[in-house]
Order: sequence, then structure tokens, then C-alpha cells
Amino acid sequence: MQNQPRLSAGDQILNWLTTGVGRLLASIFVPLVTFLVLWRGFIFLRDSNAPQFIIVVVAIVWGVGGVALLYGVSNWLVEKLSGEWVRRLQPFIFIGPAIAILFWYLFLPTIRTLILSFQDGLGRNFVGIENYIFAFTDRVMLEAFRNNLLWMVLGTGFSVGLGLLIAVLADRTPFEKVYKAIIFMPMAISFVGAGVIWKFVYAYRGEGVGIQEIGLLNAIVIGLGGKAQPWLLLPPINNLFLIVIMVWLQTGYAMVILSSAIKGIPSELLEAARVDGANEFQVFFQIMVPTIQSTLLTVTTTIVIFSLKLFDIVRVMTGGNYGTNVIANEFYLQQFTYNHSGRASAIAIVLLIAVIPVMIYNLRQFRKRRAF
Amino acid sequence: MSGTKTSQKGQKRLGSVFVNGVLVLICLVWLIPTIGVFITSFRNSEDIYSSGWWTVFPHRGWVKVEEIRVPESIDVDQPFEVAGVTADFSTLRQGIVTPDGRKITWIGNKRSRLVIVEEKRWVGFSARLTLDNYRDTLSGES
Repeated sequence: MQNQPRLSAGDQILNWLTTGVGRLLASIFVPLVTFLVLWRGFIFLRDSNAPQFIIVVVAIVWGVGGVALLYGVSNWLVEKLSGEWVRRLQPFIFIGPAIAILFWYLFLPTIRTLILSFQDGLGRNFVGIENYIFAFTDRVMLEAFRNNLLWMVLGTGFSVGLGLLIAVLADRTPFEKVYKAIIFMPMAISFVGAGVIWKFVYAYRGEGVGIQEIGLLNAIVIGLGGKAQPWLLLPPINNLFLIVIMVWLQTGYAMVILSSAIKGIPSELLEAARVDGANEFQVFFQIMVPTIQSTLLTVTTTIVIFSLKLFDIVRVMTGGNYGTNVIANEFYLQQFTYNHSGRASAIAIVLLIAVIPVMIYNLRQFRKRRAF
Repeated sequence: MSGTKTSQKGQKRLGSVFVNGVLVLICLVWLIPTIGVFITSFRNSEDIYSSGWWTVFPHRGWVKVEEIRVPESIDVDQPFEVAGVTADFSTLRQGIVTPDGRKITWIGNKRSRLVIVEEKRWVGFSARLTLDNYRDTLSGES
């Protein structure tokens, strides 16, 4: 305290601001100004006819600066409080925005969907569980459930199985990176893009004089002496052809994760097994698989969730016709084609409930592996 | 002792050939659909829908070598002779492959009176590839 500075005018104002009435006034005044600034910015962005460039700049400054301002002001306000209250309230300033966003974008829509699922097509009258009766008994829905089951079992099975096979085999070759890059490549392709790609595999031109098949599969079948088939129009086998597309896309994901798990197996373990006389199959089934079991389960559940909410492939390739409908596609049809928000919401809730147990299991696995 | 060593080595090499073989096979299956769409992106829309993308590679295909006008005097409702074969109209429309490797096909309906003769030849060396699709996409033309 020997070096006490002379009080300047600014310090005096600051002193006054941090005591008594001034403190109270400031803590009302500052949020008010903040709110006014943000509100003016909003009004400007809504009504302004200024050049596009200026609007863009203002929007960026307003958006980013607004968030910083809100954080700064609320943090400042909380820090004005006594120590105990700071400790209690400060965490909420940090997680508050996340909670608000979760509430607004996740919780509220879910509740709204739940309410809509008990109402009629236009969301005006309550109709009880009629929509759920539709969701569980209608022929279309039963077909969708059956197909989703197919996707879940076969799609997941082949993706994980092939991914594991490739991961194990590639681990033993000097060209591992090349193989893995090729298998992983489809992951970079969107589902709609994959649809276009596979149309050139499954294409069917019909019968007639001088018609050339442009689909690879039909060309192969004809080359082997068979007859061209409209692959995507043949229930129930067309589901398998669609599932192949998902396997093509998802095997890469399973492969990279399983490959990293396989590389994590201690080499002493494998060597010990081989010294003890285990052949490669025994090493694989009795050493490798149990060691990477938790990763295997995580990958499987992730792809199961994925196959349950699968939509794009069916939408692009067949539109859900010819017995290939899935739950997510039927939801889309009900909501956006038939405009029946009640049924659509009921389907969405059913899908949500179907995914939740797998999701919980998946998150537990993630936590076990300390992924987050 | 050295004998077993060599046999082990041989076994290992055999295993590695097998592993690489399987992987190359899987990778080919994985790549072919994408290669197909890649090649398709260089073709005219007319070509895309009239022949498979793999026809840009050299292969033996039917090439037209002769066009025959069937004279009006021939009654096409009965089996008749053209270009060395005798057949009725509907068989000719499907196309007939003769033992000497020619394919004789009636084009169009009965009044067109047009028959073409094709032979298998190597084609695809002068594939009609174009960058138009890319130019149109990037410049926003339809």
C-alpha cells in the first residue's frame, strides 16, 4: 500500500460504480444497454435495405459480437455477487447456451411431435392412439418394419463382418494403406451420390429389339448367359440390392475403427498364442475378437442406429415402392406427400423409441472406451 | 530342419498371395461402381443411355458392314432369303447370327425393308469421350 496511486476522475467513477446504489444502477443499466444494442441490430438486419455486403458484415459482427457481449455481461453480473453465489451460478453461464439450444431445438420439438402424434392429420383435434394403431398395424408400416429389420440384420452384419475381414487381412500386407483407402473412399460419397452410382449397376432397359443393357449387373448376367432382370422391381430381393449399397458405404467406417482396435492388441499376446501352437483361426476367434469386443459392439450399435433411420438410399433408388419401404421413408411420405402430420409424428416417435435402447447401449460403450 | 524352414516360408508366401488376392478382389468390387460413374461423366447423354459405360474400353462388338434394301417383289409374310439366310420376318427382327459370324437384322417394321449385316470387330479404340458435362455443370448451363 506504500505506492497508492492518485485517484483519477475515471477511478472515482469506477469507485462510485462499484459501491451501493451505483452498483445496483449499473447492474440494471448494463443489461438494458446490451439488450437495446442487440435489439437494434436485429431490427436493422430485419428491415434494412443497405447493400448486401454491409448487411453481411453487420450480421457477422452482430452475431459473433452479440454472443460475446451476452457472455461478458452475464459473467460480469454474476461476478458482482458474493463468492458463494459466484460458485453456484457461474457454471450455468458456461453451459447455459448449450442447455438453451438443446431445449429449443431438441426438447421442444420432441414434445411437439409427441403432442402432434395424438392429433389428426392437420393437428387440430385429438384422436387418441389412432395414429399409433396405424403405425403398428397398417400393411404399409408392417412392411416397413420388416424391411428395417432386414436392413438392421443384414446391413449391419455385412458391414461389420466385411469391415473386420478387411481390417484383419489388410493388417498383414505391405499395401495396407492402399486397400484401406479404397474401401474407405465411399464414405466420402453422399447417399444420393451413391444412388446415382448404383443406378448404373442396377439399371434395366427393358426388353425389345436392339436394346443394350447399360446396367453392369444385367450386363454380367447376360454375359453369363442369363436374362436381364429389373433388379429393383423384384420384391423381396430388391431389398438386398439396396442393402448392398449401404454395405458399400459403411464398411469403410467399420474397417477403420476395427483396424485401429486390432493394432492396439499387444503383440506379445498374439505371439504367445502362436508360440503355444494356435493356428490363425484360433488366434482370430479366441484372441483378437475377445480383445476388441467392446470396439466391435460400439461399431455394431452405431451401424444398427444408422440402419434403423436409413432413408436416402430407399428414397433415391425406389422411393419406397416395390416392397422396399422403410420406416423413415414412410414418415417422409406421411409428412410431406400425404400431409398427415399426426401419422408422421407417430411414426417418428416409434422410430425414436426404437433407437433409444440401442443409443443408450452405444453411449455406455463409448463411455467405457473413454471416447468422451 | 532347413527343409521345414523353406516349407514354412513357402506356406507364408502362399498365405500372403491369398490375402492379397482376396483384398484386391474386394477392392475391385468396391471401385468398379465409382469407376463406372467416373467414365459416364465423360460421355454424351445419348451414349450413356444407349450403351454401357464399359463399352469405352476396347472390346469385340457388332459393327455394321452392309445395308441391304429388300426388294418390293419379296413377300415378307412368308419366310424369305436375304444375305444368304432364309428366315421369316419376326426371326429376322430379333437378329440371326450365321455360322460364319455375321449377324443379320431387320430394322424397323415390315414396310421399311431395311436389313443390316453386322460383324464382330474390335471397337472402342476411338471412344467418344467429352468434357461437355463438366463444362456445362461448371458454367451452369443445362
